[in-house]
Amino acid sequence: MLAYLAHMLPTSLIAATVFLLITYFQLGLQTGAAHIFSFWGVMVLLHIWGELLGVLMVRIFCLFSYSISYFMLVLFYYYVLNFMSKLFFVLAWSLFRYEFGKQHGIARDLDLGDARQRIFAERRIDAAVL
Amino acid sequence: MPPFFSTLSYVSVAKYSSELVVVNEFEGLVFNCRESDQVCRYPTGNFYLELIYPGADERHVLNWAMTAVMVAFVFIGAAIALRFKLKLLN
Repeated sequence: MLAYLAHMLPTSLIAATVFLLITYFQLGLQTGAAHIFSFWGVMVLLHIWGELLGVLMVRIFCLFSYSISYFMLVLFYYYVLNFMSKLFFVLAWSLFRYEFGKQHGIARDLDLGDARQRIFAERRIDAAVL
Repeated sequence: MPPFFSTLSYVSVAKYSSELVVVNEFEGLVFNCRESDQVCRYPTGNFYLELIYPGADERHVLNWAMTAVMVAFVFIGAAIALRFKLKLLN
């Protein structure tokens, strides 16, 4: 693991530097050595984090295709998404119901429900008087 | 979203690193708004920081430490995964 880290560190430093050179001045962020160095440090840490997470995922799920070609990776994602699309749909629908069903329920109870009950109560009183 | 998912963000590396980047960009900025046209919505960078990440400019050390801790956790996990081979799929 330390050997892997020693091989990976210079690459991630160079990658973070290239990313900084491409994006930082195009976006027009704050100039100054402290700001640029801080941004570079965050980018290096995130790059190492992603690299190690990739190693962990490859090792857990035994994705040999991940390490040899992107084409096999795309095929694998297609295969997985065919399985998972129904689950994603159910999750999204339940979240939608959670978000908007709550407001709808509150509005119905406050406005329509009370008005209807009041109307029915008045009619009942009228019927009793009559 | 249910409030359960918002508590999950304390485990995420993106919360701390994005706070670092945004504080690095916005702290100490002064925006020169035109007085005649409209109300100045964000007069300074610190005002904007207080809106989106309240108290983030006092959490430099915590954010750097939490980002490093996340990297350390993933490092330990990768070391364990390289030592012992798990077979969940195939």
